[in-house]
Order: sequence, then C-alpha cells, then structure tokens
Amino acid sequence: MPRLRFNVAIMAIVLPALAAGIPAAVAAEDATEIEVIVESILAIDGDPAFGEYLGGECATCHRRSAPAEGIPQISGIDPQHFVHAMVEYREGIRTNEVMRTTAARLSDEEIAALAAHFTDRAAR
Amino acid sequence: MTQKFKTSITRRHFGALLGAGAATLAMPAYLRAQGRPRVVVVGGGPGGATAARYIAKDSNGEIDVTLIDANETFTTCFFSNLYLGDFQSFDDITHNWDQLVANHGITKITAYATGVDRAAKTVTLDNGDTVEYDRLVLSPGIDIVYDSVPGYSEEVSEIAPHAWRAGRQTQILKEKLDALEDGQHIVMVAPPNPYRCPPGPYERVSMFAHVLKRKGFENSRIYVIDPKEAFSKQALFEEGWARHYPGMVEWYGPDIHGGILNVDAKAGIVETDFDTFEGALLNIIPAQRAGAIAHEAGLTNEAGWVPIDPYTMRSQEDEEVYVLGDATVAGDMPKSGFSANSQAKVAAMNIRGDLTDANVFPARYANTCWSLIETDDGVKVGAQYQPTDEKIESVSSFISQTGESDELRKETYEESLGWYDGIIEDMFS
Ligand SMILES: Cc1cc2nc3c(=O)[nH]c(=O)nc-3n(C[C@H](O)[C@H](O)[C@H](O)COP(=O)(O)OP(=O)(O)OC[C@H]3O[C@@H](n4cnc5c(N)ncnc54)[C@H](O)[C@@H]3O)c2cc1C
Repeated sequence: MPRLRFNVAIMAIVLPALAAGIPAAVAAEDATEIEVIVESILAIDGDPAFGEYLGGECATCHRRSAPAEGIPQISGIDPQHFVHAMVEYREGIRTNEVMRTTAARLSDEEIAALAAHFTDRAAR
Repeated sequence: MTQKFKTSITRRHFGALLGAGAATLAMPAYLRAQGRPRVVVVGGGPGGATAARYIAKDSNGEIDVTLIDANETFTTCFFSNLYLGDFQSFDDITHNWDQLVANHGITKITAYATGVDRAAKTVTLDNGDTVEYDRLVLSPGIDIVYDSVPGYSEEVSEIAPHAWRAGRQTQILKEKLDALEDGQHIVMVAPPNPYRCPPGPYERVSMFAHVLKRKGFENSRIYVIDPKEAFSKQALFEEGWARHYPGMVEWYGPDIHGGILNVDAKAGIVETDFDTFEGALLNIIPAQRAGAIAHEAGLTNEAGWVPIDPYTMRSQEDEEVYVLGDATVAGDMPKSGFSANSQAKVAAMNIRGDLTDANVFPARYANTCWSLIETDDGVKVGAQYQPTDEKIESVSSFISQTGESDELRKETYEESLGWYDGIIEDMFS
C-alpha cells in the first residue's frame, strides 16, 4: 500500500486549491487516496493489547470518562471515523500540530491497533 | 548500555512468548515464593502517580503497589501560573490520591522517604518505618539550589518566593501580586538551564502582566533578570508582551545585566553588574537539581540529575530502580508534567514485564507544553521522542507561530484546558 507523503511544497499548492474551491482533480484524487488508505487499515485485524499500550499516549489529553474541553472523547469512537481522522492527520490534511506529529509516526498496523482498543473500550 | 539490561530483555521475551496462561511459570521463583511482587513508588506527581496507577490498573491485582508522598494533597505546578492570573482557583489545581486507593487498591503512605538501601531493597521513612520493594520508582521532582543565587535562602523564600514547587509558595506569590499598587515593580530572577518547565517563567511573567493590566496599572514594570541568553518560545512571548502589555515587561539577558551580584529581599532589590533593580515583589527562581531521595539513593551524576536507560527509564546505576520526570536526564525531553506522565507509562510497562508475564512494547515518548500569554491567547510547543543508545531523542517537533489568528490561539488555549483535565484523570482517577 503506497503511503501518501505530502511535502510542504505540495501542501502549499493543494491547500489554497481547496480553499479557493478550485476542485482541482488533485483534491479529488487525494480524497480518493485517503479513502483507499482508510479502507486498507480497517481491513487489518488490529491488536487491542498493543492498542492499549499505544493508547496510553492518547490518555494524557483525551479523557476516558467524558469529553474534555477543547479535546474530543475517543473512548468508544466509531472505528471508521477514528481511522479516517488519524489518516487525515498523518497525511497532513487536518491541521492540529499535536495530532499531526502524533499521527506522523503511526504505521497502518498501529492505527488499526488503536482503533481496536478504543472500540473495545466502548463494549466494556 | 551495560550488559545487565540484556538479561531482563531476554526474560521478558520469554515471558511474552509463553502467553497469559503461563503467568506463574514465567515469574521468577523468588517472587512466587513470597507472594505478590511489590512496587514502591516515591513521589505522587505526574511521574509517580501515573506509574503507580498504570502498574496497579494494568496488572489487575498481580502487583502490590505502594505510593509514598510526603503530603496529603498535590497542587500542580502546571496551571499554577493560571492561578496567579485568576484563570484557575487554588482548589482547581489541588488534588489527592484517594481514587487511586479506592479504584486500584494502591496503598498510599503519607511520609517523607529519607533513604534507600539498594542492597537490602528497602526504603526508610521519616516515621521510622521501612518498606520493602522488588522494584522501586523514584519521581521526587526537583530540589531548589537556594545558594545558586547570592543572598537567597530557604528562609528568604518566605519573603521572595520562588513558587517553583507548588503549594504555600504559590499562595505567597499570589498574595504579594494582589497586594501590589500602581507604580510598584516586580523583579523576576529566571533560572539557569536545566530547570523544570522551560516556558514556565515567561508564562508567569505574562500572568503577572495580565493582573497588572486588568487593574489598570500604568506605572508598574516587570523586570526579568535572566542568566540565559535565550528562552523557550521567546519570539511568541515577546510578540505577546508587545501586543498585550506594551512597555510593561523588560527582559535582560546576561549580556546586559552582566551577572547577579546579590538579592536583598528585605530591601526589595536585585543587584546586578549593570544596575540595581527594585521591586515590591521579588520572584527568585534559583537553579535546580533532582529531589533529595535520588541523591540519598546514590543515583545522581555530578550535575545533580539521574542518568536513565532511554529504553526503559531504569536508573543506569541499578536496574531495579526506575527514575522518572524532572529528576532525570531525559535527553531531548523537557522537564514537564507531560514528559513525566509519558515516561511513567514506559516504566510501568517495563516493571510489569519484569514482575509478571506482561508484554513489553518498544518505548515511545511525547510532550506538549501549552502556555497562556493573555486571555484566549494560548501557544504550544511539542515533540515526539524515541530512545537511542545515547539518549531520548526528538524525532519530530512543532511550535506555534508568531502572527497566528486569534481564533487559532483561542483553540490552543481551550486545548490546554482539555489537556489539564485529561492528565489529571490519567494521574489520579
Ligand atoms: C510554574 C510552573 C508551570 C508549569 N507548567 C507546566 C505545564 O503547563 N505543563 C507541564 O507539562 N508541566 C508544567 N510544569 C512542570 C511540571 O510541574 C513538572 O515537570 C512535574 O510536576 C514533574 O513531575 P515529577 O513527577 O517529576 O515531580 P513532582 O511533580 O515534583 O512530584 C514529586 C512529588 O514527590 C514528593 N516527594 C519528593 N521527595 C519525596 C520524598 N523523599 N518522600 C516523599 N515524597 C516526596 C513531593 O512532595 C511531590 O508531591 C510547570 C512547572 C512550574 C513550576
């Protein structure tokens, strides 16, 4: 699975294109490519035990019991939604810098493990 | 890396391979013989409380966890500047360990640990008791090196507070801040590197200025006498001070002040080579070193900090003692509550790997430090880290930019409120 790797120069072209509403074929292509990555991660059987360890990092900011002000709750999150958001952070589409640097070092397997862990938490 | 770390790694892999059913087999015989393995944690801050909680929670009662802290309550240094600025109350930033006892079966001992006998594997307390451990965690935070500032002492800190350990010191600083009248000045002596919370002094200056501005003071100044040539988030703070508090903050690096000669707290003056600064409020933040127990345990280097194994947070002197947070030499990681909390999770996992058949995954660390410059004007700096043989190394980082929109700055501030609630839950629930 090829990983999207925006560099700053490409971002500089893509983002204004999106903002200006110029539906550059580029933007559409990216959206499709994001979907492809999301689907391939959702197809992975994530390891919830590994996800629990990795999720320790999330727990510093994301409360388990309730949404924290300015920071969404991720316990029990829909896996589709979670994976989509993480891929968009990793590929530099979403802008929050904390989440971008966090997601940037996560492999597909690690995102799948986290998704398995946070979905699992809802069940319990 | 010394050879001794390798043995435990081999055993851990062995344990992991056997799987959950073989827990007792994977456990060393000496531990099976004496019942549940015991972990003793000294210090109930972000490092110690997080470690105690994760070990107890994730081992489901397999490990006996005792948390020793000298106090009944814990006031966080983080957000203590927001207390000075009236954004938080003292109650908001004061917590306790009751939930750790109730929810995870942790034993809390309120006592000061005076010594560690690493051969006997015991910790001595000021009440005369001795506590035995199989693994020890030290997260004692910092000690203030009072005599690093000429004329300063613990006694003088009652008049000229450092407020670099939260509690009564923070309240003294707040009382003095609130008592200022227009035309009276504040002098801060900033600390030399390395110290806890690199942006902390400058966030504090911002909160001082916020209070003076809100009271409509036009003639008061805040003088910062800094032993460092540059400081954390400098461009962001300087931009914010010029924008929100024009003319109020004057920062002097060593090139200008030429060195601090003396602090006379009673007279309210700080003498430097260049000039004498007068203030009705002196906030003196001296140099720092690891908390006393780390020295007592014989784990510190010449500079007064504890070298650790970057892969596990074990002390380099003793593989059965883990050291966390401000007390350590954590490579590129700053001394922050976020860092201590992150390191604690790596240590907790390794301790469970040492004492039970728990899996041990490769360490990874993270930190973000938010600072508030003025109402709704928040900034942040952060990084991701990985262990190497030499140190804990930054792999990627970010920092807020000058000229950001008001909307983004407000979002950043709101994110910091969320982080505070998150880390408090992660430490104390
Ligand atoms: C003004 C200010 C602002 C800050 N802002 C932030 C921020 O926004 N974000 C952030 O992440 N960090 C911030 N920090 C830094 C943060 O507070 C520290 O890095 C963090 O508290 C370190 O945690 P620790 O576990 O190493 O030690 P500590 O939090 O100092 O905890 C140590 C505990 O151990 C106890 N103890 C020590 N020795 C003994 C002993 N021998 N026996 C029994 N008990 C003992 C102490 O009583 C204390 O409760 C700030 C610091 C300051 C001063």
